[in-house]
Amino acid sequence: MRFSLLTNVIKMRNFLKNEETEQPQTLPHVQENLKNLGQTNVPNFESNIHCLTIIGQIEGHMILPPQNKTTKYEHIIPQLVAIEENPNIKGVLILLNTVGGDVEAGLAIAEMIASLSKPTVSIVLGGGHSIGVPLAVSANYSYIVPSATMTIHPIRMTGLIVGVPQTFDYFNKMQDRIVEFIVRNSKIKRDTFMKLMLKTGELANDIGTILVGKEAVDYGLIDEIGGIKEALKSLHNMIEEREKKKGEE
Amino acid sequence: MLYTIIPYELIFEKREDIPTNYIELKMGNKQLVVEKLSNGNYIIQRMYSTNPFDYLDAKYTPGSMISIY
Repeated sequence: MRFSLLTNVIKMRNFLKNEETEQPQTLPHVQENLKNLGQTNVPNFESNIHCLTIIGQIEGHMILPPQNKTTKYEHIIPQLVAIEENPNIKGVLILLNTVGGDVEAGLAIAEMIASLSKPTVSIVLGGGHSIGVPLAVSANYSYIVPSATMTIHPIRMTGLIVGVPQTFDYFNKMQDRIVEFIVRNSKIKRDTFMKLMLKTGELANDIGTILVGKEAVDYGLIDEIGGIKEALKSLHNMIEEREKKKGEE
Repeated sequence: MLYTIIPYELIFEKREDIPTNYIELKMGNKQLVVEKLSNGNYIIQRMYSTNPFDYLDAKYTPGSMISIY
């Protein structure tokens, strides 16, 4: 014990002597920053998971007035291309808290996510309503937090429309595109989904259903209940599996 | 065509209380929404990036000042 203390003192003396006689020792970059600015550096660490946050309204062909918080498809779509092309990115986490929005923009983003070759996991937080439903099911695996809700309702429109039977057909066609995507990318049956969509007595002044957390899982729309911990865990597992498969090839 | 739970009247309502002078720009891989100040600097209102570590960078947190030139 005493011996080690003595060697420490000698080491310390040598160090001090060095500093006096030799050139000043340069501090590593992080310490330099801490000394001069009292700041710590942002960890210089690249994440191999990128996250796509889809919030507010999905803004598509029409620019919405500024009181709407929006996620724009012209931002999201090129980002998805970049994610697919960047070899450092191994997986995507999709965070959803959306009230819906443009049908074509929503479906475009959903199809992009569904056709990515990299593992994707989505979490519905708060709400994933209307066009948020296809976005939630587009990932390889989907999660919903227990308190989040999803509203399923028919497509509608206000304002001036041409009152001809063809308008009704057009509505049906638009709705069918959405339903077809959801059925193709989740475990829900078409009949069950249509029943939920056309249900009366659930929403005030409207037809449709609100699914809260577990209910969305029970109907097969979402894969599992869970939050960030579960989502990241399954994303990491999927990435590992994919890397293993690549290694075997 | 919109498919949303927010009524059309609320989405397209004309409102005077919302500032409209925000500028959208891109810096590196980050999408920024900034507001111009009278001294020529810009204050960050929103930052969007798919890289989660960009949100730890103090330079780009909402409320911090940047000069564009």
